[in-house]
Amino acid sequence: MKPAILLLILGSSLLAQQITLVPPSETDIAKQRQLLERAWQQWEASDAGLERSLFTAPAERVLARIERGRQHALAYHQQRARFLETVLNALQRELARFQEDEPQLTPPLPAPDPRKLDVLLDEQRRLAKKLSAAGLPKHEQRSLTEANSLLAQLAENIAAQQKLYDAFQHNEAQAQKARRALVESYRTLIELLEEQLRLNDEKRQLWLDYYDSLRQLVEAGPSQARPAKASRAKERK
Amino acid sequence: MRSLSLSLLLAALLVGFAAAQSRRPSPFSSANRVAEPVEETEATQPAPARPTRATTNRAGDPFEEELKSAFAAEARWLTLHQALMEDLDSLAPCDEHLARRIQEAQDAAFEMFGQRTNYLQRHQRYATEVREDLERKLPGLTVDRAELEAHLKQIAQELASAERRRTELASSLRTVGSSDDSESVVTLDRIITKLEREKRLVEDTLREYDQSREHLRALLRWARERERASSDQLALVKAESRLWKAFYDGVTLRVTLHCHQNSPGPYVFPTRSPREVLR
Repeated sequence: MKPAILLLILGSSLLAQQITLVPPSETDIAKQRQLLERAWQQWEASDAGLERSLFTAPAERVLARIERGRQHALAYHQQRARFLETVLNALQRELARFQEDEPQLTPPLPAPDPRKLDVLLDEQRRLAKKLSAAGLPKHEQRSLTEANSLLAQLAENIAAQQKLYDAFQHNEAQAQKARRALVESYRTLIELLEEQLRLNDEKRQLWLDYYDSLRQLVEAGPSQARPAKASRAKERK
Repeated sequence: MRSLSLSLLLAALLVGFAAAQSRRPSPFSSANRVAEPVEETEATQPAPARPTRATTNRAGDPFEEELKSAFAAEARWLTLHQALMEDLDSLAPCDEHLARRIQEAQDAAFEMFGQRTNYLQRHQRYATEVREDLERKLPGLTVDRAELEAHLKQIAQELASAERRRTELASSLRTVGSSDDSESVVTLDRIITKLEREKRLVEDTLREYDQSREHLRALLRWARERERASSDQLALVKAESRLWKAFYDGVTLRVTLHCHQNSPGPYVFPTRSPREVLR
């Protein structure tokens, strides 16, 4: 009974871990972007032509539209921050996945021992000397010729192994370069998105300031609409 | 007392002389040493410089021990093989030692090829795992280019909208006799500047994203290359082992033939008449 309960607890905890470890699905970014598009459409619809009718429409209606526009601008920028954060988190997760097995070194492909070629050359010399000897029986000649042919094939094989080893070394260097470049690229992407998030914050504040200034303009009335510099100069006085 | 100090002095002189003799090479012993069969182990004979071989001290290498063992087996075989080939002609063809040394060299070669094959098979499995792991990761990448492109379009829309607002606001202000440098216009100009910066940032993000995918493709390409190289090297080593087997078979055959040629022929009985034998 006890092991069964233990297994049940272990299984449920693993299941729980798996559930928490599963990264947000692919649709998360798409979903956030759709929400962003919707927020944008709502903002656009709420104060379309607001600036055009600023002094022509009744002030109360204009002020209400300004307030609605202000709210939608705020919602849009909040949604944009959420979208950017989702992309940012996804990129951070991807980077972490690629860095997971980073410390492990690729095992080398063993190069052929250079002494082997020396051995083959020595043997070839020895065989050539034997073959040049006079009065060699035919079967001996044939055997030595076969051995010579084997040595040539071995030399070719070792040369091919060396060539493959050199290519492998080159490939490994290229793979390391690509891996470093990939990590660097991800870091740049993350920095760019963080910069966009900062900019989004600044922009949100500017839009709020803009709606405040519009409200002030409408509240002051068309006759009071003055250049900013002049009004600031007056305030200073 | 005097005799004691004299004997001590004599003992010290003798020790010094013996030490000097041991350091000085004897012409006789050196001649003998050359004639002695070479039985060098790895510890006594360091392997020659191998500029192209991978170094053995690789922290983090998962198969470091196997590689070291394969290199050691190779060095052992080469030492045996070289010594055998040097002595092959000087030894008597029917010498028991010769047959044993050929067998030893052959066994060492097979051991080395066995270790090398095992290492390369592990290497190949590792290369396959790395490639498969990478291929598994690629579809799991959640950031889609289309989302970033849509985001860029979104910023472009926002910028166009802000510029339109700027024009309409300026027009409205002009109708009421106000100039273009009101607080709202200035703020809108600052927003437009920020939006232009934002657009550039998103464009940079897209470019960097493409770069990252290019690096990923390169990584996958190199992983496939690694797997192919590993498999090709394994095939070459197997072919090499077959060639060495044929080589040793040839050596054994030649030695056997020489042995038969140098052995006294079968005794030829003189032909006698059976009658003579019976007598």
